[in-house]
Amino acid sequence: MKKNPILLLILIFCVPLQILAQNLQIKGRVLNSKDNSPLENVSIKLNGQKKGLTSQKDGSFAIQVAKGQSLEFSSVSMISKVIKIDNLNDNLIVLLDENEDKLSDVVVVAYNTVKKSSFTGSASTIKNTVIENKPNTSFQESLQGNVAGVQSSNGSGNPGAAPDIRIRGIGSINASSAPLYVIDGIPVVTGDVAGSGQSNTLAGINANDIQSLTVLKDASATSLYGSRAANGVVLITTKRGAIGKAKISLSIQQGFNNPNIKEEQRPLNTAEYVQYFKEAWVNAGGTSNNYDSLLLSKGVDKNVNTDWYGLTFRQGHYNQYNLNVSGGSEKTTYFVSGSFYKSQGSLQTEDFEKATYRINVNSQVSNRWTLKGGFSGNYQNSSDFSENTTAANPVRNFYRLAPWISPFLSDGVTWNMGFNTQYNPIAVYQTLKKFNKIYSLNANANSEYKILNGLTLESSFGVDFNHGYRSIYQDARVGATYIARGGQIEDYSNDISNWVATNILRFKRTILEKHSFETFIGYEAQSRSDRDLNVVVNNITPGTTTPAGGSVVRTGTGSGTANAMVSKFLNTNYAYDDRYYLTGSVRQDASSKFALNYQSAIFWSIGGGWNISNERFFKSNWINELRLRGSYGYTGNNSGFGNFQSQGLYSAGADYNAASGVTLSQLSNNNLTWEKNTPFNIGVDFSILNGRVSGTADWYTRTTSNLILDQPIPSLNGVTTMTVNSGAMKNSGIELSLSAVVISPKKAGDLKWVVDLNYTHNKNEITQIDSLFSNSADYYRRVGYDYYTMYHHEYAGVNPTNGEALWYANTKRDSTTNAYTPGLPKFSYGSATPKFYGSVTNALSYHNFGLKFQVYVYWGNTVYDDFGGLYHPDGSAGLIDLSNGITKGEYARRWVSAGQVTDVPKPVYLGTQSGLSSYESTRFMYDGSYIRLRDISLSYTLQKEAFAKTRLKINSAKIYVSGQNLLTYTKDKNLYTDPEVGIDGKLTGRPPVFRSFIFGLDINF
Amino acid sequence: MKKLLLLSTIILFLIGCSKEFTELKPQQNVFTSDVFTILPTARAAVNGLYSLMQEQGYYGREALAIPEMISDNMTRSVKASQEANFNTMTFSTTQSEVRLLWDQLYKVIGSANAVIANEENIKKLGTAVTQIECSQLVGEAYAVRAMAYFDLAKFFSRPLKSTSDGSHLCVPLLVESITDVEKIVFPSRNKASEVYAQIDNDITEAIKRLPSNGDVYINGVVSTTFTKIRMNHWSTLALKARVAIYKEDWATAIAASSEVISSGKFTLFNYAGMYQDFQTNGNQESILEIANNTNDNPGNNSYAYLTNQSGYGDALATKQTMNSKSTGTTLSTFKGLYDIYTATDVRRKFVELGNRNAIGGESNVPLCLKYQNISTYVENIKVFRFAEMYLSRGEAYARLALLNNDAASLTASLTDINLIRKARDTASATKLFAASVLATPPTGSISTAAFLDSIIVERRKEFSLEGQRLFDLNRTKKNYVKIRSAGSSTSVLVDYANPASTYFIRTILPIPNAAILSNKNLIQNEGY
Repeated sequence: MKKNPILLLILIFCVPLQILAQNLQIKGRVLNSKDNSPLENVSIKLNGQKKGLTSQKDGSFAIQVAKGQSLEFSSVSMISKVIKIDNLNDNLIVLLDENEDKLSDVVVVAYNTVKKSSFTGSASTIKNTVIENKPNTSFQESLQGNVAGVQSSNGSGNPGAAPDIRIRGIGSINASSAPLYVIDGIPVVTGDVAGSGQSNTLAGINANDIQSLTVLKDASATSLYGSRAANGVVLITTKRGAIGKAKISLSIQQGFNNPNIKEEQRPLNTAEYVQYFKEAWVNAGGTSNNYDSLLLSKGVDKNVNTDWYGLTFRQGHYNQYNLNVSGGSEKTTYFVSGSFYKSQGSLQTEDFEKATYRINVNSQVSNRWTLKGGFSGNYQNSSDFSENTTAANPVRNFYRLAPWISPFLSDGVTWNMGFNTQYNPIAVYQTLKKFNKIYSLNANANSEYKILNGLTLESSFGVDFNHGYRSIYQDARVGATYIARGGQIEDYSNDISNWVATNILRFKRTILEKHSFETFIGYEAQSRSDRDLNVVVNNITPGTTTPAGGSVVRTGTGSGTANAMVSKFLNTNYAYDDRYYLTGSVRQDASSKFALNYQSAIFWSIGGGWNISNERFFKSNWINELRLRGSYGYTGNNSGFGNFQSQGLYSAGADYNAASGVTLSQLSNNNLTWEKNTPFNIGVDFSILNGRVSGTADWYTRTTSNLILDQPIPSLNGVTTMTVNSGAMKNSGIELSLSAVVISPKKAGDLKWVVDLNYTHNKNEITQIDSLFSNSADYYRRVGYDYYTMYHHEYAGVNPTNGEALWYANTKRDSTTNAYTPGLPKFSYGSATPKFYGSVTNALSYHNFGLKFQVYVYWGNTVYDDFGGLYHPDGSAGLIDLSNGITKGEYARRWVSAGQVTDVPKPVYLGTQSGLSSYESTRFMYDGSYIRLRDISLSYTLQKEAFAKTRLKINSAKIYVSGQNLLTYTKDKNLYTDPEVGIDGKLTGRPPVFRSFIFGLDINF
Repeated sequence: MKKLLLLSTIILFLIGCSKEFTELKPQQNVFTSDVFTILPTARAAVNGLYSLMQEQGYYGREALAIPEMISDNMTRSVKASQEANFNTMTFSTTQSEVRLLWDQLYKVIGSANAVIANEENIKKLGTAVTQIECSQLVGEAYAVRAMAYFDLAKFFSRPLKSTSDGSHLCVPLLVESITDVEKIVFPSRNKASEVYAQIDNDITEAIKRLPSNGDVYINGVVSTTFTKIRMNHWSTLALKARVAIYKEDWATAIAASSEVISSGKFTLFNYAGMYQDFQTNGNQESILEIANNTNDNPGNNSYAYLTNQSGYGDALATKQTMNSKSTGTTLSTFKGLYDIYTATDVRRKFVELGNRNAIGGESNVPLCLKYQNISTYVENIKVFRFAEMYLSRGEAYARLALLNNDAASLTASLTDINLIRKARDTASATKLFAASVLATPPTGSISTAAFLDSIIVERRKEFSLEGQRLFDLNRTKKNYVKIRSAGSSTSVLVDYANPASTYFIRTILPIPNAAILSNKNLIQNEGY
């Protein structure tokens, strides 16, 4: 952030202004700097005076001013402005900037909306402008970099893949650490509804339908969600119509998705491999003379140079269309929208498309009764590849397949099937048909009846239907497994229905002027049921694509489950004189999931706030608002247990020769409880320099105890594990967000510069654990360590003398060995969790141009390549179709001559000293820190006036170009792929995140 | 109006949802407390026992693969991914297959314990028609438990007679049913004598409850399809005979096997039938099979997939010449599995020579062909076959002959053993063991011992690749050479007279590390 403009501003506002006695008649209009729309009810006062006037509906005003006097323009939710009047002016245009983060704002919180100034919890609200018109498949991706305290990792360049979202750290070991999502009051179904491992039902939500998104973080904010609140809550409110003429808004985007893999990260070509293996051959004792005959015997054709990278990646097309109409009469308002979105990944055949609609209607039935209804639906269809080590994984293949193998036989058309266990990638792309579809319907109805003044009864009912459907067609000609099975068709369908009914009685009253109370009690019932079906058939009749085309049924199965919960809750807010605030809430959940001895649970929170800037003693010229708040409470996480986790169970499916069978699968545990989370939060909100700089800082600590873990028990008890509550974890951290208007325009068209910044530091620490329960080969999960602390053998680099790989042989690291064994000591390292993350967003506008860019930082984490051993054979696999994979960058670093200090050992043909896939070590661990130009867009906006002469009734139009992930700085130069990986810090052969270029057009009628 | 609204609001809050709203039942599970309250789920609980026996950790693969791979019958290809460390006898306490086996066997026992513990409840479910079946269900659970404990004892402990009083550590015994986490137990290992006493007890209890004509009742009626795939009177006797052989209780072995032989329910294959019909489910020789049908679909985890060259094909049978690195002249006197057959022995067809189907794999080596179905996997695992009854009885008679200088027993033994030899080898007419070959006891005792050796060889020929070889070696303490496929390492001698040797130690499995971690009362086997 630049300091100078701020200093300048301080000077401007603090220097006493000269007063000269000369009356001038000033006329003018007050407009919103964002879109030049007129601002009504702006208070206009002579500087230093109490009384003034307000602007008209069209923003106009007229006032008498002495020459040299100043006028102060102020309005709720706008940044105040003082203008010195020197000359007569009958068309003074005053532009006010919106205050992005002001205490007078109203925020949506649990079962309520409150003024930010009265809220004692920690919540971040994201405006729709941050989410709208982004190329992201899911609004969740827009959380990355835009909210302090929210870690969002995409980790996959497969469009539609669910990002990992964590609010204030990892809160659980076996249970889910994902937040609860509530859309228009309904806690919705999330996750992999289509069962592909990557599908994400939330991606179906049209980001352009979202009015606001609130992330609830601490006890005061979340405890009303009781047993589901421990990992935070994301509240989404969709758009509604406003009284007035119909507004039509249309946006169109077209673009491209390009692979994000640098030249040095690509594999070698044939000539380079031939050279590489020659070294390997010589290093293994061969001579250069007989190398050519080796190549010949291994079928290496130097003239073939297949670019597997080029065949795997592509430029994917992207387009998105959004149309919405809103408006309404005094009695009824409406919002109707529709959208279509299509994105092709940068990887062959990875496609995603979705279509959505939404209808929201509000109706004022009488002056006591209001009805609201919402109905929305969406459809998603994605296709993806299997990840991990499967032979069909294109990411694995483009790194590992030998370039001297041609994908086609000599005729140039027939697939060459003689390699990679018959998974010729070209044949896979051409024949594999995989789609994951999700259909989702969401409906809600809400009635608000004002029984008495201050007493309201609110009843709402919402349903959320999800139908997921997946089909995978494996051709009988491709892949050894499917050739043997005569092809395979797998169909899976999954239905989830979820409903919630809520009744809330609200009471609101102010007594003796200064004491105001707001209380509500609620009663809620929620029920969810799931049902799925899976059929796998083989020996497929050519030309057929449904299970009916199979002649052998391989699998035919299905399952169902359900849960239900009944809850009561109470919330009370008390405020004294807009200075002191006290909040308390209690919720009781009785869930079908809970164990016999703990059938209901009570969760609670208390919070307090102090608006210091409203105190009489508080006098500051430059601090406009200052407020302290704190909260403490108790919330739960029951996502870790299955619906019948505490019950003694026999499982069906243990059939024997077609007779039904059951086997003991779970011991009863009547004492099993939810995970207990106790968050403590202290925060400060401030606004200085007339609101030009505002911000929030929070310090928090939360301890999750009673972690739900599977404990191994002696198998002679009939089962091998039991689920118990054991272990505890602590997350503590700092969150900071700042918003500053660095340069404020003096007049229309002047340069405006707004900077938004957020920073998060979270420290995770395991505070109690039984190492037996949580054994992990890759992470060091011990008391005092971060949950994602890595745990590996330590690579000691390359012996400069002979080019052999070395590993540390003892824990003191004073001796190394060239003989890898699994028994070598292991060490704990860093963590997949970053030390901090955050972003800086700059928004500049000048006349009709706008430039906005966000720089995202993710710093201090480690990344481990799970495929490291497989991708770095150092010649050990010999000249075969697979098991190559050295990148150009590593090729350049390989050991060649004595004395060379490097990290890539010499290749040895069929050597075993290094390069075997089981040789896991820190050789494949990287520093994952990166800085990325995540988003940049340049726009040109035309206001209504520009269309005045045309017949088009356009209010405004904007054209723009934008790009995502255009530039990335990766701290570790050796990290051979894009640094953004999943939250667990592992590279697992997923397609890397891609770069997008977009051209867009928004028109408002 | 206002009052009415207020009232209705209050009512709404008070009524709310009934308690049943949150009392849900699982949809693919049954509450443990409900299983033995109706006959269909009680039956299903017994079916479940066999389903557990089907899995990879037991008769699905490991109970056959591990003892063959450790023994001199089987080796692992140089190009292989499965069952590492058994061939080299370098497996440790963390070997995943060992843990799988241990856990699976105890799961079987846990589920059998539950059936036995609920005997009174099951009896109550019986009507006049289903009474016999109810008794049979519990009988089966006893028989299954006996078999599981017997298998555990063989894998994880030295034979009963390796200490004079059977006081060495065997496996922990649990016969109670555990259903709640509050009740879980951490027992230490019992003595071998105690475990074998329990096995004997379970066999006795099983025979009491199972229909004595060998019938198997399914859903109230006698089933023909299930006769050979569930524990019945005959298979329990076959188990009794096998246990007796392992216990060196020769009289019991003779009695039990004689009962099966004279039942008239089973006949030996003819010469060609041995190869052609072995894989046929419910064939004439079969006493007990663990059934597999298309739904079970063990896929890659099946024994057939491990051995079939179109599957993993990692397992090969042994042949002396497959490893030229066998050091020492003595080693070369030990034969590979392929080498023990004459060319006219029908059983050699199960280990015909062929090529390893993998780049860089072996060529012209004996392949494992006993189980081959990797398309539908409908191939039952043969646990007890009729031939075993003759070979066991024949061995028991020979042992008695040796112990008691008893000529009649020797004759009886010769009859049984020759019956099998004749059935399997066309040239056997000339190779029958004649009574005259052996001098009359007592002076012929050395020859009787040699005859005993050839009975063990006969068992090796007959039960090749069926998971019995290691245990025959262990109980007879016959040294053997672990032939390893060329390219990997030298073949080694497993010397039962050298208890400190790593190879001797590994003729029984270690208690899995995970089992010791979760139960500190368990003591590890010596040497691990």
